[in-house]
Amino acid sequence: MPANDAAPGRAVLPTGRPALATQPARDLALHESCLVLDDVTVAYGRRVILSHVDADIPRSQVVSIIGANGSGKSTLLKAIAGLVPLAGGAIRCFGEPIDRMRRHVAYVPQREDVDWSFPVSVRDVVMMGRYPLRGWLRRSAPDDERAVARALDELAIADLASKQIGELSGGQQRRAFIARAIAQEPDVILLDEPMAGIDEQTHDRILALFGEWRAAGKVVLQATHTHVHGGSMIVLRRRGEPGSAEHAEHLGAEGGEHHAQHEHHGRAD
Amino acid sequence: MHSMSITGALTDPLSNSAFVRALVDVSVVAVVAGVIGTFIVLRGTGFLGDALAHSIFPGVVVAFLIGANLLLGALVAGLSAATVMALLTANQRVRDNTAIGVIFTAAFALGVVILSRSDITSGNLEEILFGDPLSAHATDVVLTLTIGVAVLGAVAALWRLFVMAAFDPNGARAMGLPVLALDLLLLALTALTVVVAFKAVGDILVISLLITPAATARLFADRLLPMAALASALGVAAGLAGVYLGYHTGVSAGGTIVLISTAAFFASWLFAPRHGILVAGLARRDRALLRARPEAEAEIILASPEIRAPHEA
Repeated sequence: MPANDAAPGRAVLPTGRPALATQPARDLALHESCLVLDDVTVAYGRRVILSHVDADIPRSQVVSIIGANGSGKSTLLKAIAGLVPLAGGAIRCFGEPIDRMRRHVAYVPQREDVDWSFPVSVRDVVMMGRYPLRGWLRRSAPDDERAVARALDELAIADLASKQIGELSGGQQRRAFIARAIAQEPDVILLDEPMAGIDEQTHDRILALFGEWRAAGKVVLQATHTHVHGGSMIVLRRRGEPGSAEHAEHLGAEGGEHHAQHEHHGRAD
Repeated sequence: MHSMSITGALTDPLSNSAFVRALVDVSVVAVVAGVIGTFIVLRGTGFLGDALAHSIFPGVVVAFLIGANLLLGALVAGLSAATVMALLTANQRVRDNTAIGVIFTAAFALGVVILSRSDITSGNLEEILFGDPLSAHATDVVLTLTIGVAVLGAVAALWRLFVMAAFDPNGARAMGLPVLALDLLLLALTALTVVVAFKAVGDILVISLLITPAATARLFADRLLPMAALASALGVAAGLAGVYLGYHTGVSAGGTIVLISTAAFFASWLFAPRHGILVAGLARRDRALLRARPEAEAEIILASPEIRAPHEA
């Protein structure tokens, strides 16, 4: 199914919130909300990790979520992925509550969150991306096999398809999970530290993919330490701490981009 | 015994219907336990399985006292305990293991209190706690078969969803897979497996049938289906050996099954071809070579003059 048809009832959503000051007016007319974070608050127990985060992200964006360790990057990503409950606010995808749009959202977990000794092959992992598309209980069709083969090719791991996932190097494992995301044909791709601990080849491949995804109208959100040049940013910091000079520099230098800066407090993870 | 040939030792008991029932019962239980055990081992929820096993104790005791089928008593108690544990963990302040610890000890205590006011014989108690497959009735075998087929059918139908939820629960949830519902279903299937398994090895030893063969299989298999199949096969082998030994020597069949499984586990832990401790240790050097990764390949192409090769004069 082409990704663009994948969102039933998709609507351009007026969020009722003022656009961020840095956004040029000419973009507003074209602004088609894909992912809207509306006053999102996340807490673990009584500890508030993120408070009152707002962002209205249009299609065709590569958004880097930046901030110091413990600033809540991963938590924000997990909140969008539905892995941590919201204490307040709402997240919408194409105007729908995001819980109803889950199959259009792909999530690439952090390395530490996966049991690499688990007895599955690389092909099995990539095929998992097809389950929500096909229907949870349907058997895989030739279509799915082709999509999986394409995704494996695209990440240059086709020759590793029948290996157990743990036999791959760190970079190859990351590519396997990104291939799974591709196989899912999502509109929103969430990646938790996708560039951490990988080889240069994988790094370049992922960067190129970001560009392709953006060109295809998708939204990419990555929790990261390294901002993608030419992409958008969401900078997080703990309440009361100064933002780093580096981040301020980014914001100043690229004033034409779509930015959001939010204060919050607490510590992630 | 001394005059009996090996073939005779294997075939003679087959004319005894109680023995045949025990063989069938233990085999079915071992297959189901191998499959469910595979998921329990991969998710690391062995403690949960053990707790469920102990939770069926009061049900079995009550069934025994009122003269009902023990499996039915176990069924009621097992599913109730699974439900209560699931409900308790809905409160985030109660961690899984806490809820499990509270419930299974309480259930076991309930069984003990009921027992203390009854005139159960030590033989009956031994059967409940340590199992006696050779005492399985036809009803037991039919119940075991029915429940076993139902459990296997459910796992087969939802196989890849269970796999995905076990492998990457976060990714699965992000895609919209109802991971919590699958967890609860697995809990219920575990309870059912424990219920049919307790007759074979007894309440206390059930967990061994669930996790030991699966843990052994994990040392050999790099794919899930082979792992489940191997776990089942190992369980059946240990089960058959235990039933034969119990029949011929009069030792506890349940205990023997567990000890054979455990011996197989330790042997594999040491000697399994790729993941055994000894073999893996010996092969480490070669394997490092064979598995050299493209981006990890390196050779020195340039070095400062101060740096010499180790054997350079």
